[in-house]
Amino acid sequence: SFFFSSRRRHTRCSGVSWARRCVQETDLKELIKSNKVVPYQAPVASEEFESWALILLFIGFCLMMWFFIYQITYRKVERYLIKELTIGLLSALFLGSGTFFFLLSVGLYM
Amino acid sequence: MKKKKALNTYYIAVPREYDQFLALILVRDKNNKDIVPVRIQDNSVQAQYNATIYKVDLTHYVESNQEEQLIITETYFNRMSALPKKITIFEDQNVEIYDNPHFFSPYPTEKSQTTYKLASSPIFYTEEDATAKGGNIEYGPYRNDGAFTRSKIRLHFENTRPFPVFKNVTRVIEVSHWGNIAIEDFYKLANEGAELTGEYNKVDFNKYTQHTGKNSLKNLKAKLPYNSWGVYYKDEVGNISTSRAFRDSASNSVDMTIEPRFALLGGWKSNFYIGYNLPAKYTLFVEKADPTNYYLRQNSGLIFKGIMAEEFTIKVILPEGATEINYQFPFPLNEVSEEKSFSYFDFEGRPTFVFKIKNVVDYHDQTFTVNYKFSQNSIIREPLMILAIFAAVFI
Repeated sequence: SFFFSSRRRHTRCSGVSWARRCVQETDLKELIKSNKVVPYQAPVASEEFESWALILLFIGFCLMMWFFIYQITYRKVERYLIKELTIGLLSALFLGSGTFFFLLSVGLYM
Repeated sequence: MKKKKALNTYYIAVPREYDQFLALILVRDKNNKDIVPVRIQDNSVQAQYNATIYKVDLTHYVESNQEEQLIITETYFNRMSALPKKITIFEDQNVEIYDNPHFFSPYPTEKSQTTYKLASSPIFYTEEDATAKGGNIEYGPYRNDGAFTRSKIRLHFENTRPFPVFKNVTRVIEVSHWGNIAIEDFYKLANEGAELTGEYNKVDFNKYTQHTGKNSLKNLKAKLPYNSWGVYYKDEVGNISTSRAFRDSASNSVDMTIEPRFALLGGWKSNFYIGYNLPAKYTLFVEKADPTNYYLRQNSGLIFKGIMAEEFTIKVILPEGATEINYQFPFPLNEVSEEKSFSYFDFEGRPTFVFKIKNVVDYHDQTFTVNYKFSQNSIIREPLMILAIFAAVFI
């Protein structure tokens, strides 16, 4: 099946069997010149990956320490499940995103 | 009386015995515009004269009794063969070539002249109609040739350079919306020059001198995009440290020189990988009016200039969840297919387009575009999965 949306993107679908997809007729150079198309900016700039990784991992480790200390110092009956869950999940959030930015900063893009 | 009309079509003929070695044919008219001829399927003419016919659609009409100038460039490969086929490590490589000095055309030719430009005087050249001026051998001028005039001359001359050819090049382009394009090329390199007679002897062959193994392939030069980072050169054994790269703002590229682990003598082969990364902001574009519409622009040629690849496969791996994928190439492709690639945190797989081009020369060093729709929010999926792993640990 062909995706035929010539109204918006001016595509032309050829009948040649190997060209199963429609070929873009609008030249990318013209789109860039007329400013209809801009360079892609990632949500976080690559220069900031290390900073984000360090801060997030640091906060994550602090929360993780708090979690473990909380587990150790209070007996089972004295602990609150809600507090455990929130600290645990918050710590996972920070550690998870910190690890993710750490991997991005060493060049392992997913 | 027949009325003479204006024409905008021209036909070029190539002898069938040479057409299989034709990598590229280009026609340039007086407006300096390059036209790519199309091979046509006229079987009767082709069978009768043992020729392949190409059709050229000119950019304008040529009126009757008017002259038009065309520059036809034909790029051949494997036309020169080493003679002698095997040489010792101290000898110079000599090659021979056969060719048709008449202008082979479906039209009659009033006057034609062919000049063969060699680096030095040849060892042998067919004497008929020939005038030798040092390295330039002129044949002709021939007057009033009929259509499809055939003849054969032979040239035997010295050419001590290696003949590098890429038997296969595979490029994998992986797009990540966290801001990076990762590219890895796999090369199968061969030196198709004169082979070595006898056995290879490390005492006789010293790759640091000019006296031995003159036709051995010692290094190659590549030009990577200016913003490349994280460049590596490796093969199946591991990293190859004999390489240099320099970011040159004058030529707007990263100039890289690689030396394979061993100098390739005639007939020898070597496989290697070259990988590099590009920041997304230089090659990935997004439409302002519709932020889910992305354009990826990449080079369609090799990073090594002046070397032909018999087969070039480009694989573009788009992020998981990309839809409505279109592509645009400045020249026709031999084969296009779609598949799925699986990488980190993939469920349904990443859409992958595979483009195959045969006999890639410097002409193919242009850019191609892949256009797709992708919801930017999906990129949060990867960190969320790491989060889930950590959360599982805590729970």
